[in-house]
Amino acid sequence: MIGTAALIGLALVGIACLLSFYRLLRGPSLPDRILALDTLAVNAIALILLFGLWMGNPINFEAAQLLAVLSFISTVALAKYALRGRIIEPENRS
Amino acid sequence: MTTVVHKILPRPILTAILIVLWLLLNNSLSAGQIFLAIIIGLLIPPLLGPRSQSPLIVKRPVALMAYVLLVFHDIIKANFIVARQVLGRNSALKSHFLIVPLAVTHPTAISLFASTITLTPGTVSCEIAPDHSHLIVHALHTDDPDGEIAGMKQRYERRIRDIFDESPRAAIEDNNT
Amino acid sequence: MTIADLAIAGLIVLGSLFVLLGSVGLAKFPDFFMRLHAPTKASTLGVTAILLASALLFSFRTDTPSVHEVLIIVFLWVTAPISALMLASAARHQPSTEPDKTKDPRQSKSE
Repeated sequence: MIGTAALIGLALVGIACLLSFYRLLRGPSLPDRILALDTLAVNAIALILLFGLWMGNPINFEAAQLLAVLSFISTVALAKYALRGRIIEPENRS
Repeated sequence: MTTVVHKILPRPILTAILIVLWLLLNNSLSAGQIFLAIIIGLLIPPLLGPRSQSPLIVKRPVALMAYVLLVFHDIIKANFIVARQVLGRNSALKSHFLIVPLAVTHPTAISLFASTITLTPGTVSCEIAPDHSHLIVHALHTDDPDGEIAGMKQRYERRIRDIFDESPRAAIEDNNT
Repeated sequence: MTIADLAIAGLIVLGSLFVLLGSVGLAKFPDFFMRLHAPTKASTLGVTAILLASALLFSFRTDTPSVHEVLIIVFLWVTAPISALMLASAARHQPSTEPDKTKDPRQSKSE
């Protein structure tokens, strides 16, 4: 039963990925695309977890964890780039 | 005596958080992992350098627990409201930017308030004014912007001030963390 | 065990539905700030439900509590408002390419 639920979940999250991908391509602005990438990363975390549930294998957690950390950092870096036009600023200017 | 303790444990709370995080990360309570966790908890805080601001002290832990439960309840409620709005028609939504004047002063309290606003029904905090005088909040749908602002201040900000006993004086005393 | 199975399956489907909802909101809302609402709340809650399901499942499977899911849950909930705030301030300081459906805050400030 859990396997069936996980399969349904994989299908739903797959559609979610497509929708986020549509927003990523469509834009229209840079923050929109960053938001779409962030959502795509969250969807990917969900996919990894669902796959782990389907296989009955807890080994996928580390991947989910890494993706969560990485997606947050890249979202912040990209948002900062959209805001300032640069990511690392000289100290005396901030 | 206290200075010796202070030298070994400059930030006891951070040490505790690091130990718990390490054990959670490894999903284990074996003696070796606990030993490693304590080493990490003792090693990292002294490397961080001086604090950039005085810490905020939780004066009423019970109020903090109650606040967490309240926000948890509101998050669940928020999601069903957002679900209805996502599935409804776009034209039925009236979005507004709200300007929320801030009564809390400490940066930690402000970020707690802003995060709470983002996670609870229909509002996302968009910007904190550089002088910490107000927040700019986006509401997905509201008929009564002023009522919304008053409601959020009443429901969350009052409780945050209560938890930290916020007054300009509270930021100066930092001896018991 | 069947009740636990039922609860886990329910959490999985509910969580996936919320993740889908977050992306539907992202795809259909007409302006950036409205789009910001759906993924920050719905997707995060959806992943939380899936994480809870897997914490329950692997706790039952191995008979030892599996708690590191909590780490991801806390991390997601702490970071979601921060990335939302960063993106919102980035969007507010960028010239928008599409008409804003929401009222400009400077106008409502002077009211």
